[in-house]
Amino acid sequence: MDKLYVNYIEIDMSNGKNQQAAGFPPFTRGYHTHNFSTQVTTKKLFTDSIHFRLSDFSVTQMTVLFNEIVLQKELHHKTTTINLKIPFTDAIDTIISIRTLRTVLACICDDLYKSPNTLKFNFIAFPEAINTIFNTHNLAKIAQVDTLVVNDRLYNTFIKIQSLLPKFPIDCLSGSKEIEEKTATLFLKVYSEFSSY
Amino acid sequence: MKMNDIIFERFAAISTKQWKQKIQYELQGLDYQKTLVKSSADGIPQLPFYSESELKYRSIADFPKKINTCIYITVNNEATANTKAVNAINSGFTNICFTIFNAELDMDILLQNISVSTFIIPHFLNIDSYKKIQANYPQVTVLSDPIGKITQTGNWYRNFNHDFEQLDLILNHSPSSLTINQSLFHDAGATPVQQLAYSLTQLKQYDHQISLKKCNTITYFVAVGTDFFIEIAKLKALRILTNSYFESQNITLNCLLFQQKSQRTIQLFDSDINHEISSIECQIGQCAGVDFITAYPENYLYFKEDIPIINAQNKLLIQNIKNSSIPINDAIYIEKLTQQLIDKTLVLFESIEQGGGFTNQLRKGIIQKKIKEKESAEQKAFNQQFTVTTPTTKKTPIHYPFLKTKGHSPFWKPIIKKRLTAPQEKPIWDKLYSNG
Repeated sequence: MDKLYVNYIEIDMSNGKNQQAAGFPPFTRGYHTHNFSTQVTTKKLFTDSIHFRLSDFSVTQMTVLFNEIVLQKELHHKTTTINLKIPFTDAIDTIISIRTLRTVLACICDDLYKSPNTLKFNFIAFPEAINTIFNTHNLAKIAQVDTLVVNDRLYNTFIKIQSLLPKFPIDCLSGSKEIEEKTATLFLKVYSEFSSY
Repeated sequence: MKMNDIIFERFAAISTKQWKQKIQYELQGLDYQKTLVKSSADGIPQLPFYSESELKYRSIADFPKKINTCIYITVNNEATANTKAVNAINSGFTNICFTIFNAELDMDILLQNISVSTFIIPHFLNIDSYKKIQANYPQVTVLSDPIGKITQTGNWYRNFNHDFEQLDLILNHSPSSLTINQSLFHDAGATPVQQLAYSLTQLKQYDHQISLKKCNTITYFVAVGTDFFIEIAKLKALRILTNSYFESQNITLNCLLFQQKSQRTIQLFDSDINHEISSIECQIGQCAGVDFITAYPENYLYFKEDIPIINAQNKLLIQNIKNSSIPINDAIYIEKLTQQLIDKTLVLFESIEQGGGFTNQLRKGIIQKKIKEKESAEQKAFNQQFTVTTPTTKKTPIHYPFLKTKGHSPFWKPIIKKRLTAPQEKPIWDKLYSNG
């Protein structure tokens, strides 16, 4: 037998626009000094103020949120971090919705303050109907959630398994065609709805 | 405010150079390589960020549209095993896998009211019983892996020639029978590259001995660890390498991945951690697109009190499979890891082939020695980062959970599964249970 080899194909570059839409908004998410993987802080309690709440990932609710943020422009300018409570649902919905939110929020910041990263958004999820923390934590990291608030049992389990958690690169989903296409579609819907206000 | 200028090009893409500059700035003098780059057990660097420039080309891989859930049932009594199987199907399992030890079983009783696709793993190699089952029960596939048998036990069913002759005859009647057990290497502590190369060399040896042209399906038993991305890339690499081998031989076969619960990560005293690890294994299987995910096997249960926990876990497995998985298989990071695993696997594959092939190296003890080296390194690293705690309650043991060294001397040295927490658990077990 001849030497075994693997056939590869040329990379399709036609997905560029979707990638831009789905890509990690530039420097909008403050990342940790010594670890550039996205970090999720897992807590039992969240005692700081929640500035905004998103009840679901519908286009309507996202548009309402963006308008509230724009209307309260003066208030946020004095705040370094804005705590945003988000839902935590189906894996794909959570991922594409958060990517869309981050991108639109970066655009809003750019319009309001001439810089996309003036406001730091702390995305906080309080997942309820979950049975395991390992999967939830992984999904939160992949979806770029900042803070996960869980019950005592899951928190204690999290402490035990911390050393087994994998290391993540900054955006492990970059290049996923399905994520890029779905995020681009959602972004266009949200953008269209928001700009019609 | 006008938002009409929101367009995709609003923010320029961040180049690799810009990311590196930003990272160097925030590192404040710390070494990039030492601080942020983690090396896998196979020496593959896991970087803090990846960009499209990392890839020159992409691999081609097909994944199943649906993932099935399968439960293992060890058959000691046909009627009891049948009842378990029917209950499992009613609770949502899509497939059954029976392990049988006796060719004289009453298959009518065992398979009564079971119409789902069913697998049988016999602990014997007997063409007559294979033929009988395949002729009478079309929903059943009898699986066979003589190389896996000697690898795991150190003994052939009878001898090298006999086993391959029997397999050759079996495949005439049952072209989906051939299996390769990659999970054994995983559970013994082999690295992903070793697991891939050992599986691929077995595939080649089967082709050499019996010709894969008479098969229509190859089934791999696979198991995964907790390193999320590497494990997804490993399973993707296995599909790509297998298909590349088929292409090289001008054959077209199905390749099924049958994901088993990893024994390596099972902990004796902490069912919560076992539950977490099983869930992450399931998530990895979903993301990697395996064909079957199996339930927690009965023989991995060590205490009576854990039975309800395992039952609840099996229900959760069925639920989780229905949820959407994360479409990560084609992400740059996974693709890069996959290509790196493939490159290293092909090097090891060539080296084993030049050394006489898989069973030749197994006979000489080379495979065992290479796995032992990696297993010891993983064990050492694990002991440094994880401490087993003594349980607060004493449970009722079902069977002895540690390796028994006494017994018959095998023909060749077998590859032994080793749990990572076992060395720390043994003294605790001795203290709690040795005196009754």
